[in-house]
Amino acid sequence: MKVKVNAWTVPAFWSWDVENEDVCGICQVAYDACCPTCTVPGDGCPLIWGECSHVFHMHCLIKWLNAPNSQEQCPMDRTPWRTAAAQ
Amino acid sequence: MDLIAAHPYFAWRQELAQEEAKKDPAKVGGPYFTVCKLLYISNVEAGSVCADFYQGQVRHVQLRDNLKILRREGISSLQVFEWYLGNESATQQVEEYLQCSVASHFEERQNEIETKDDEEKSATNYFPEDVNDIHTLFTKLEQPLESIKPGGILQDTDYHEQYRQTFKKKLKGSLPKDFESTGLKYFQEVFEQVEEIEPYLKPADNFLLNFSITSLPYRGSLLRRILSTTLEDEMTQPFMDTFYPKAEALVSICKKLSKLNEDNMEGLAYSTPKESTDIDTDMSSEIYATCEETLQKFRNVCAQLRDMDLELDWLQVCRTAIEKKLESEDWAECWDDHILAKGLSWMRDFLLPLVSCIENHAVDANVKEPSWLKYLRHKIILEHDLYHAFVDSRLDCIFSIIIDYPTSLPAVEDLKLKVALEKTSKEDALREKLLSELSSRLLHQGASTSDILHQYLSCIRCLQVWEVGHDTTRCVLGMFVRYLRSYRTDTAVEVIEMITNGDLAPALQSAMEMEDTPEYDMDEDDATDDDSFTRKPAESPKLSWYSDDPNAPCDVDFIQKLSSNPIQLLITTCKSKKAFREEYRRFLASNLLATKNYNIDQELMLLEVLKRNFGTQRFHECDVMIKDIDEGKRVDKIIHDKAEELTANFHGVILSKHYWPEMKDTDALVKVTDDLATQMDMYGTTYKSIKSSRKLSWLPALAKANVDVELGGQVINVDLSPWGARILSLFEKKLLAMWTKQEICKQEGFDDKRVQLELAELVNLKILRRGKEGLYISADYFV
Repeated sequence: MKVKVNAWTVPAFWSWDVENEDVCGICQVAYDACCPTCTVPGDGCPLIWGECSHVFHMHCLIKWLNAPNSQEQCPMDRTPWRTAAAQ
Repeated sequence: MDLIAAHPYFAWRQELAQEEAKKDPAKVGGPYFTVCKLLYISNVEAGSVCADFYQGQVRHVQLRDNLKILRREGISSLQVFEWYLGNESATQQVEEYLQCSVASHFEERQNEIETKDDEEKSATNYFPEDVNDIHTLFTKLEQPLESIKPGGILQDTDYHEQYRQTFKKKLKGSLPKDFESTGLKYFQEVFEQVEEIEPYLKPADNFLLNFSITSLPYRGSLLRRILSTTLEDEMTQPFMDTFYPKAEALVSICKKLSKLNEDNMEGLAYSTPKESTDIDTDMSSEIYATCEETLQKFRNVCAQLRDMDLELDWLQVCRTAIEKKLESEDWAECWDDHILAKGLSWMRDFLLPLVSCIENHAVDANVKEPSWLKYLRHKIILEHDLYHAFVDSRLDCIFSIIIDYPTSLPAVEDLKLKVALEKTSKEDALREKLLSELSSRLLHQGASTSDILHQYLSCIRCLQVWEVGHDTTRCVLGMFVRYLRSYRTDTAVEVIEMITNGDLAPALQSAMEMEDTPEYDMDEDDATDDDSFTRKPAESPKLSWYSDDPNAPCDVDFIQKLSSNPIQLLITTCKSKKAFREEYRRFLASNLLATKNYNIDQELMLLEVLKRNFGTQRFHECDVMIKDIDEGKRVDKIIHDKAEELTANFHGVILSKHYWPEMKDTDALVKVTDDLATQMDMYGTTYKSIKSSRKLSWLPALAKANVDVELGGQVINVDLSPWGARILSLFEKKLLAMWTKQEICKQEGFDDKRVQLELAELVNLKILRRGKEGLYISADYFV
């Protein structure tokens, strides 16, 4: 008997590199899923990291920041929102 | 004078005459002297006849001669006739004579038959002879009347008819009890004989047709056309009474048919050439002669019986012949041929010509009600009988017809509503039969869900071919749906299996091509998912369409759309659409992971079909799953381009976690080879560099190794799980390629159950085989 491996196919789950929490604080949907307005997760519905260490679906945060009562603050800690530099 | 005195009549007459003379002297010299005179001139015979006449006694057998004598004596015909018929004792004597002759005839016959041991010498062989004898007797008794007739006196009386009726009645009473049954048996034998001969007759000769039907006003191709037309179907209005259609109706149809031009005639199904049996000409002529003789004899017997009003219930014989034909080996349970059409042409080629021998269909002066119309009526009756017998025989086997679908398509088509069911009013019977057969023979624990689903589709397809009413369809559909939803838990799995395993490929294709597949009624909230297939018409919210309540709502449109779409039919059997979708996701997941080269065409097509049937939104997760694979292909290419150290045969499949169903073994621990681990690390790192802020968590337990296994010169290509691959490499490394399960567990640290599973799979793939004492051996070991 001779065995020749032609190919290995290994599946993997991708996930956003977020520590601890796993749901967006705004929409309460998992980071690795997508915001309520999107249908496809990943590239089309990215996350956004704040300097305050909070992470949201980008679409969720934009919607929040556009809301009049947001005062451009992070919805979690009410500090002024500043987007963190890309990791 | 001695002679006169010696004659007993003389003495008696003398006495009587003297008495009469005393009463009425004018009568002296009347009868008495006539008798005396005759006897005196030594014509004893004539004297006796005259004596009988005056005495009221009858001598029938020589009656014709007697009449001559009486005439010569100047006795009027009417007087003679009244004596013959009106005299009670005289009539009685005729009857007695008749009875005695008939009885003794059959007694003799019985004795004759008894002396023959040979079974072939049955009473039926003598039937034609018997009929002939009785007929001779009958006509003999009738002769005197014939000779009286020219006298002119009887033209005003119905004595003649009276006489016939009286004696016909008497004749009937005198026949032995088994006369009719023997006769019918004879008919049957003739039918069988001719049927035996029939295959040897050249179809082109139309021998039976030409020989038999000589009494109809139509001939040749026109006759053939009339015979081969289902007369009822030609009617613009259906016959009010199918079994006794009005004369005008029949005549007008025949006229209509005779007007069709010659060109149309060629197209008649009648002209289909049959395969003729090759026989040499000598034998052929012999056969024709035999056939002709049999038929001529048969026709004579029928004519004689008719003459004596002894017509037998021959329709019964025809019915038996029809049933027998339908039960014949070639025809019974023959589902792959149009037996109904064959039956009809058999009837028209064979049975109807025979029938024309039985009845008198002479062209007669009665224009309004020509006797050949009777023949057409018989044709209609017999065709009805054929339809009935055929439908009954098929209904009895309805289950096996459905099981054999689509091979049985011809049999199914024969039962079409418009063809047969409607004509015989058997739709209700069909429904009852179907429901009872299906529930007792299919919908039980012994049948697998996949079998039930297959038969379910066949059955609905058959119902469509039959074009039965929607109520029938609803009943049958409902029964399947109720059963599958309540008693089967694996319906969804099997439905998906069926939709995808290729049997339904044409249906899938057509479902794809259907431009505007109506949105199936699927938009109810998932909260009510348990019953989400239920149609809830406003008027009766509690009844589902599939309920067994006869009053259940039956939305014609809905039933029609449903039954013409096999995919929706299948999906309907699932307990809920949610259950179906869950099952489908699991199925899709395992298929996508097994796919090679990120090929998603097949799955994409199926998903499209399902979306058309379910609505687009319902398959969001599946969309993402397919997109994952599609995207994965692109990413894989980029990663391979970037990471040159990565071996070309390593591929990742990157999945969006929240959209994939729970997969078996996802979390199972499996030790991967160091090499594979390195590859995975490298792949992961490269991924991170492309997709910032993202990472991969590998699912090595779901990994697939595509391997070529060379066994004795033969190469088998298989996909193996990581465990399978490891186990196989054990066999490859060992010179003596045999391992026990325990050894493998010990060597690799796998758990027992897992190894058992993988070994079974490898045996299944014919890579390993089982040896003695729990050993697994490489399949090529002894090769």
